Amino acid sequence: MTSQTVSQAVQFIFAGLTSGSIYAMVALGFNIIYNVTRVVNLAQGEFFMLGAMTMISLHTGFKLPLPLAMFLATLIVGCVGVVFDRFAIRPLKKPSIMLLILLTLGGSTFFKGVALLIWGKSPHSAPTFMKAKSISFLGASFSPQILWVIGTLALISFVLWFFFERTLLGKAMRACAENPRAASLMGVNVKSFVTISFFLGGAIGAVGGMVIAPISFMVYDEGTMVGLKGFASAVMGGVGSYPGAVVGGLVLGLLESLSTGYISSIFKDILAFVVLLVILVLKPSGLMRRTDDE
Amino acid sequence: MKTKGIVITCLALITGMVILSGPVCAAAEQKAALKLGVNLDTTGYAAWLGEPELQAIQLFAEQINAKGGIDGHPLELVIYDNESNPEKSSGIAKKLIQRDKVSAMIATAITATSNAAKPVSQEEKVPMYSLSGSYEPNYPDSFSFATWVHTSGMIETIYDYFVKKGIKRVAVLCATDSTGQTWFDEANKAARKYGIEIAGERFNVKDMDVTPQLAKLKAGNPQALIVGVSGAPNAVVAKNFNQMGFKIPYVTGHGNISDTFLKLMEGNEPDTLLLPGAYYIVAKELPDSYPQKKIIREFNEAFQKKFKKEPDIYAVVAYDAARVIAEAMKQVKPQGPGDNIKLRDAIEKIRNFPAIYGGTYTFSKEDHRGIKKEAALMIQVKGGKFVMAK
Repeated sequence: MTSQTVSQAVQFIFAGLTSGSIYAMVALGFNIIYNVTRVVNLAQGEFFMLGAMTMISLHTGFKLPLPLAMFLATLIVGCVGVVFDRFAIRPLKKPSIMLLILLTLGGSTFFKGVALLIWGKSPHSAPTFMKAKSISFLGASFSPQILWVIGTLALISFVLWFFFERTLLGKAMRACAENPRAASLMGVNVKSFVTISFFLGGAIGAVGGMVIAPISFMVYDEGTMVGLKGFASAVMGGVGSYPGAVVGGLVLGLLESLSTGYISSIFKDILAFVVLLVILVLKPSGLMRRTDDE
Repeated sequence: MKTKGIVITCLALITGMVILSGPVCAAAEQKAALKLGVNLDTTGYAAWLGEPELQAIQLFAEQINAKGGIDGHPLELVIYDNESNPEKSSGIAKKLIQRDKVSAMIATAITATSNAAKPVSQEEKVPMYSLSGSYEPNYPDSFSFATWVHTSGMIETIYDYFVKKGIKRVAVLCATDSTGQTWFDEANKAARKYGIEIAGERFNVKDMDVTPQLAKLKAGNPQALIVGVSGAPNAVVAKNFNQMGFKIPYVTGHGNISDTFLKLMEGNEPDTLLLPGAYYIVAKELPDSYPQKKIIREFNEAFQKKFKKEPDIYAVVAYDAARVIAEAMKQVKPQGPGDNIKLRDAIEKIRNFPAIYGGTYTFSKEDHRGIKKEAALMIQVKGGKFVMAK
C-alpha cells in the first residue's frame, strides 16, 4: 500500500509540475510585456495556442523536421506579437489602462477568429518529441514529453536570467521597465524595447504551446483558459516578477493536481483559485515581490 | 482622417457580423410556410456536432421542398448558431419563438445548451427537439423531445457487455460538464442493478492532464474504464491512459462516434477502445434483411452527393429529428400559436416510425425519446474503423 501511495504522490507532483510549467511560461511572457509597456496582455494565451498550431502545421502539413518547425513557429509567433503591438497598441494616441486591456481582449478574440479560419474547429495534436511511449519513476509512469515541458521552463528561466542580469541589452530593457523616461534620456531607445518585449512575450508563449501540444491537444480557443491561469500565476507570484511567474505557475499547477488527488477532482479549479485569493489577501504584492519594490 | 477610416472599418465589420449572425431563410411562397427553428452549436466546442447536424437538417428541408413540401406547405428553416453557449441558446430560443414565430425547434447538440433552451420551450409551449443523448425529455407536460437511445440505455448496453465479459470492477472518469454529470449519475445508478463496483473521478474539459485522477482510479485495480465525455478531451484522457500503462478496455460515450473522434485518437488508441452506439454505425455489417437498410442507404447517398463527405451519426439523429417533426407537421400544419401544442400531441402519436439511426420511433406521453436500447449495440474501434464489438 505504501509504494502505491508513493507512486500516486509522484504522479500528482509530476502532473502539477507539467501544467504548472505551462502556466509559468504564459506568466513569463505576460510579465515581460507588462514590465516594459505596462500593458496587461490578455492575448497571451492566444500566443500559446498560435505557437502550437503553427508548429503542428509546419511539421505535419509542410513536413518540416520538428526542430526547424519549432524554431520557425517561435519566430512567427514572436513576429505576430510585434505586429500586434505595431498595429493595435502603438497607434493609440492616449493609451489608458482600460483601453489597453480592452484592446488586448479584442486581440485575443481576433487571434481566436483567425485560428478558427486557418485551422478549423477540430482539435489538432502533435507527435511527441521522443519516440519512447512512457517512462516509469517510483512506480508512477508518464510521458517523456513532460521532461521536455519542465526542462523547457528551466531553460527559458535561465536564458531570461542571463539576458536580464548579464547582457547590456537585458539591463537596458530593465531600465525601460524601471523608468522609461530616464532610460530614454540615457540614450536607450525605449520604442525598440517595446518591440523586443512583444517579440519575447509572443515567443515564450508559443514555446509553451509547442511543448504541451504532444501531451494535450490544441483547438482554436484553447488559449483562453491557459491565458487565464497564466495571468493568475503572474498575479500570485507578483505581477512583473520573473521568479514570481515561475513560482506562481508551479504553485498553481501543483495546487490543482494535489487538490484533485487528495481532496476532490470536482473542486480542482475552485480550490486553486481560493488559494490564490488567500495568498493575495495575505500578501497583496504576490509571493515573490517585496513590497519595497514598489 | 485616420480615425475616421478606422471607425468606418469597424462599422462595416459590425454590420457584416450582424448580417451573418442573423437568420438564414430559405423558402418559396406558395402555401403558407411551416417554420422550423434550428438552434445549434455550429461554433464553439460542440461545433463538430452542430455542423453535420445543421447540414443534415438543411438537406432534409431541401429534399422535402423539392418534393413539394409538406402537403404543399414549404418547410422554412430559421437557423441560429448558439456558439455552444447556454446563455446564447436560451436567448435564441426566445428569439425563435417570439420574433420568428416558429412552431417547433430543433435545439441543440449538447445537454448544456439544450437545458438552457428548455425553460423557454416549456413556458411558450413550443416543442423542442434536442439532439443530445444525455438530455432528459421525459417529465410531466413536457414539450421536449430527444434523439438517441438515452445515456441510461447506453450504459445498460455497456454493462450488458461487461457482464458477458465477466467485468465487475469499473473505474468511471467523467467531465464536470452536464454530459459528464449525466454519465456519472447514470453509471452509478445502473451499477447497483448490475452488481458492478464503481470508483468515480471527475475532470474539467479544459484540463491538459488527468494523470492525478487516473492514478487515484488505478489504486482500485479496475477491469475497465468508462470515460464520460464527448469530443476532444478524450484525446487527453487516452494519452494519459496509455502513458500510465493501463491495459484495460477504454469505454467512452456514444457522443464520440465520428470520424473526427477517430482522427483525434489516431496514434493514441488504447488497446481496446469501445463505445455503445446505434446500429446505423455498423450498417455495412448488417444483413440486407435489416428493415432500415434501404432508408439508411438512401440517406447516405443523398448526403454524400450534397456535401461530398460521408454523413456521421450526428447528421443521422438531426435528419431523424427533422423527419419526425415533418411527419407530425403533416398531421397538424401549424400556423398559429395554439398549433404548437397540437404539434407536440401529434409527435406523441407517432408509432413504429423507422429510424435511420436503427430501430424505430414509438412516442407516447411518457416517452419523448421514442427509441430504446434495442437500437444500440457495443462498437469497437479497430484499424481506424467502427466495427461490431465481439
